[in-house]
Amino acid sequence: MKTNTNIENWNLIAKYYANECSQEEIDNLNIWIADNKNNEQIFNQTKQDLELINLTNSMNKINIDSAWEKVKNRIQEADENESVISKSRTLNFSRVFKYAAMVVILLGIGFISNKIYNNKVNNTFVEYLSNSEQGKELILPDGSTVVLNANSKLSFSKVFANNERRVTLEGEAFFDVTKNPNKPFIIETNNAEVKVLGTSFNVNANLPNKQVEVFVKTGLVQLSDASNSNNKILIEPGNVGVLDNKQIFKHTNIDANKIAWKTKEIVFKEEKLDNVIKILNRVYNANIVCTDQAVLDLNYTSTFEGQEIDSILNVICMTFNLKLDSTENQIKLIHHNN
Amino acid sequence: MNLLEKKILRRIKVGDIHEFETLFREYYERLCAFGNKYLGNLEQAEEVIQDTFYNIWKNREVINIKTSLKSYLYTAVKNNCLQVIRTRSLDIKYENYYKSHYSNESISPIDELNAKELSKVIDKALNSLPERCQKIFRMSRYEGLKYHEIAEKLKISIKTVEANMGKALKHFRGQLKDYAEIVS
Repeated sequence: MKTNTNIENWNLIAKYYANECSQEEIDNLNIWIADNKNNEQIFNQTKQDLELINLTNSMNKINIDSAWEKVKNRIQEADENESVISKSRTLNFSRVFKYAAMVVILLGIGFISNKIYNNKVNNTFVEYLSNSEQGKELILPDGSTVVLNANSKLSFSKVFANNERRVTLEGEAFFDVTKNPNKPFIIETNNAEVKVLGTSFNVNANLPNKQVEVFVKTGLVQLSDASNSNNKILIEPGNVGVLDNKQIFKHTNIDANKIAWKTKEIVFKEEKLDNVIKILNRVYNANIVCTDQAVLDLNYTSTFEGQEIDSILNVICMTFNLKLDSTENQIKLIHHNN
Repeated sequence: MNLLEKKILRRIKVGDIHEFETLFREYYERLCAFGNKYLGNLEQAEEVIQDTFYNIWKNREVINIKTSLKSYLYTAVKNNCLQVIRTRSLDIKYENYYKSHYSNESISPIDELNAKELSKVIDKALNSLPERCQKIFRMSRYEGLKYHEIAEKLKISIKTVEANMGKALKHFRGQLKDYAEIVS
């Protein structure tokens, strides 16, 4: 067989893997393979090549779309069963209890909401309360995400309508809305209606006098008076729109800590400690107090990223030689000498 | 786990089905090819991968992944394939064979290979062959025709079919060298 040219051996290998060889040819092939390592390697590698080719050929028949449909349908079916089961499930541990408690609240208020929204029977309402918990992230049916600040409430229909995505907000939340020009995203809050097509922005209805404030991070947002839809403005990124008792106006955002409650990125620039405390209380939903006017008048400059309130306070205390007096629901800043 | 994977997992844990779909689409084909290695049957492999993803979603809140997301998926698929083999044949030896054969926990680079990428390489190799050679190769490998059937259809001699098949395999060997080196 050594006298064979290479191409003839390729023909024989091909014949073998196509099940076309006679016994005599198989014997010849075996002699050729046994002759040296190199031949053996070529023979084995060709097998791998053909396996790869076969695999690729059958892989082309794979339909990811239909595979995903199948998995998604199973998930949805299971979810429906789950919700039936969960009603009768005993409350074993606190986590389940928490969700159960939420459902109870949901039913109470959901009833009213249903009345407001044309009494649609199959339109189940979901309501989330953040209580004192901050930064709760919700995923809406359209994939948009909402981060709730403390003491805020978001309610929405489990299935959005065909022509719009409508949610109701009390308090403050940061929205990251998925793009869908055919289905505007509308937030009802106090007397305002905030309308977007897909963007990220912060809505704060947690202000005195039912003021609503919308800070836009990306995209374009429309703020309007719910009682008079002609009264509206468009807010561009970096700007803040305000609805204050039928008056709508906008201004450039100058507050570096506007969405710090969500990002936990805080900037203090020559800020009176009095303000620093106010900002920290707002950002962390904390209750820090200080009664020493000399301390409150101190100027502070620093930036923090993703830090816990405790470590920020420690840094401030070290800077000004202060100490903390923490009780269960209050942190007091006092001068070391006192 | 890197930061991006952590973020993906976190979003899946809170019920983000879109993130889950992205993960599914990214890995589905590759995992099918990987499962096929164990089961020798792509349809069954597809079922296993779908089951695996369904179960991940179902248990997403309690799942605790210590390794990378990728190796978690491959390991899950591997275990589920072995489970299928176990129920398919009651012969324990068969399973042991597979276990010893693929005992190495690590994923071979070929498994990580993007199926689309490989498909491109093979298409390119096939398309760079002379037209008649391509045709003969396709008839033999993809349509399963015997040499004499191909010869009759194309009105050529069986020797010509043999020569073209040999030529095609030699050509593929040259083109797939890099990939096969990874495998061996």
